[in-house]
Amino acid sequence: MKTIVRMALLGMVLIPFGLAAEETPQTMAMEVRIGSYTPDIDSEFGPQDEKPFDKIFGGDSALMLGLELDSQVWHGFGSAGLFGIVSYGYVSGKGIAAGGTKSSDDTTMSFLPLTAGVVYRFDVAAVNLGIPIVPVVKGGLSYTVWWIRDGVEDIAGYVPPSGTGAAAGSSGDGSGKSVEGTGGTFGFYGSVGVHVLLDFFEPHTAKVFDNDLGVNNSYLFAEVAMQRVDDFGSDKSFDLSDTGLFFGLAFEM
Amino acid sequence: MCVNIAAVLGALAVLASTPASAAISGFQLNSLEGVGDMEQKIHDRLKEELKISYQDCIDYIGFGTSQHADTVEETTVVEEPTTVDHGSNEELTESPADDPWRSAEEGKADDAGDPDARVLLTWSVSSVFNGYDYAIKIGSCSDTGSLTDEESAGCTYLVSRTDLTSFTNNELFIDVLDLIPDGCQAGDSGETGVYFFLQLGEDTFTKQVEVVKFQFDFDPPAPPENVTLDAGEENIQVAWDDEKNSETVEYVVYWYDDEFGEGDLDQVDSKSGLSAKEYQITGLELGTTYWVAVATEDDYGNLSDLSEVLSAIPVSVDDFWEYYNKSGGQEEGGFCFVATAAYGTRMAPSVQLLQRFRDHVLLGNSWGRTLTDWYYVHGPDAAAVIRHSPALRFVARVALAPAVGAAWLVLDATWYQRAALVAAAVGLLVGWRALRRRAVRARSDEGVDSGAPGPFPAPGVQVAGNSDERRSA
Repeated sequence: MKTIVRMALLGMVLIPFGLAAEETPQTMAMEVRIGSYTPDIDSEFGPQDEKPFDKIFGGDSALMLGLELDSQVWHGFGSAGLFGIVSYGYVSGKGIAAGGTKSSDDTTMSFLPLTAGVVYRFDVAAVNLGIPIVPVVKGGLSYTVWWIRDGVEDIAGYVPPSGTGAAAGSSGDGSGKSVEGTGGTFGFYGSVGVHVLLDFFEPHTAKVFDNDLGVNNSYLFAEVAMQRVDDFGSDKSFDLSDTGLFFGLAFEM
Repeated sequence: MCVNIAAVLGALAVLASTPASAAISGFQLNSLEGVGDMEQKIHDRLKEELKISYQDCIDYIGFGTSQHADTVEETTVVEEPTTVDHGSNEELTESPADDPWRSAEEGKADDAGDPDARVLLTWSVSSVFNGYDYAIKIGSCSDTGSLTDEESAGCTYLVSRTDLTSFTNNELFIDVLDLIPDGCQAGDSGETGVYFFLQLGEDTFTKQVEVVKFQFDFDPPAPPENVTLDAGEENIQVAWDDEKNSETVEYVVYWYDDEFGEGDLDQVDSKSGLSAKEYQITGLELGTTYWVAVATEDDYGNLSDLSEVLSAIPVSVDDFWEYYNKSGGQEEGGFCFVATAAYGTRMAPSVQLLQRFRDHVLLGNSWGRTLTDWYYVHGPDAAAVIRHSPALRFVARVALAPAVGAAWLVLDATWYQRAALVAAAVGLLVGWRALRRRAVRARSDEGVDSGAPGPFPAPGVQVAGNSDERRSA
């Protein structure tokens, strides 16, 4: 604890005189993110039903890599702006052969969440008190594009049994046409995170970073992202909701 | 110690009397083409890499197309090399052999009958060699030799000492049998050099030598081992081991819906150039039995014997999408239309107008097709949301109104309707600009700087202010 206090005090001395005094204008932020994602697809099935996602993917999580860009439109008591995130990840498993055994065929489900909304960074303590911690909250809408591939890496297709169609609880209209395993699902996005200001630890490097590249502040961050992605409660959509932990690097420019 | 000094002095004396050979300045190998029986027959491996595989050898010497039937171990190896008759003009009379991995003696028998199998090599040197003599030897010669050395069993003259009168595109015909002196002897490998000597008069210190080396390898790689087949849906995954080949090799996978052997490889499906030890055969029919085998190919193009020929039957496999649906999942995927959802029915006039616009305008150009493709990917999801909400359907209709208007303007509007719309648009633009000018003038009259910043201070200003505050603290 004493160490933290000393570091904070040191930061209060270093940042005003060594780093921030000649900062370049700051209008945007960029984040490189990595985290896990496990959609709640099996939630639409009852407790006694077979869970297809778990059966095929074994409850695996998708490793999501993402890029976020923020436009910081307001600087006052903290900063506020708009953000957009593009991420990508996939899960892979084995197809199911006759008798319920696992086949050698791979099958994958890929996710491309596109998220946009508003972001607020409480950087008052960092700016005024030299405490290198910046809480960040975000909220917005998400649209997750997804696609499923079969054993030969084609987009998967499903032909509903004729005469059953949607009434049988399956996709499609019973016309015998293949329904492709691709689509998109709308939802809400929210996150809370803590950003640790790295400039505090390397003020000289941070100053050079700013002068040479225009990067005002650099952060390491951890963020809990809550997604409720099910076409706003639609029964006819995947439930791609999840609450996951993301880490990354953030740069204010 | 005295002995060592003497040895060194002796070596120096030898070096002094035998001038070191330098590469020929500006030497270029321009091209290599087949002539005579070799015309249109020479492989790229020889033209581009100066390499000859066993199959190439068979083709060049004239055994004809052949197939692997036996292993290398079963061939006869001749211990003593046989002198080749380069000048024979006899016609090739023997029929192609069933087994290409034949003995050298058999090869010799046919060699003698195909004298017109030659390659034409063209070469150039710098014109600074004006006045030089040249000679060209072939075989296992020494590059320290002279232009007038006696021929030996392994080194003969292609061109005896001659005045060098031309410097570019000099032609040199080489008998294929000179390139492959021991014939197509399975398991053999080595190289044949073509030695170009240049020298000014009798001054051996001006001698320069260039060696063009043709390499041959008649030793096939070992076939893959432990081949396994995993049947999937319309595909078979093939995997194998290869512990025996230390050289760089690639693999060829063969498959067919009937049993096959070494003699059928030109009739079955195949995939060559594989560097990984696995391959997925796709496009197969469910329930059909397929036979699969793998062979190894070295960088000379020598093919190994086939691995064991195995069979498998592609089976039905549920990918996640199928399994999810069969489990009763409700996600619909597929496609539907925003406009249909917004207007409630596909028969609505606006929907039909938009469909005609899609068919007649958008699909007629690349950007329109791109836009349509994008819409077909993302439209269904928007429609799924809109369909069940009257409020969202209203919003969607308002949002689609400009698109419907544009479609009507392009497809159905008469010329005077279009003119009226253009006039209205111009009027709106002019009116908006007039109103804006009036507003700016009014602010100017009131002393307000029209260039003032907006409600939010510039972020840079804010940061600088904070910095100042911190500095003063």
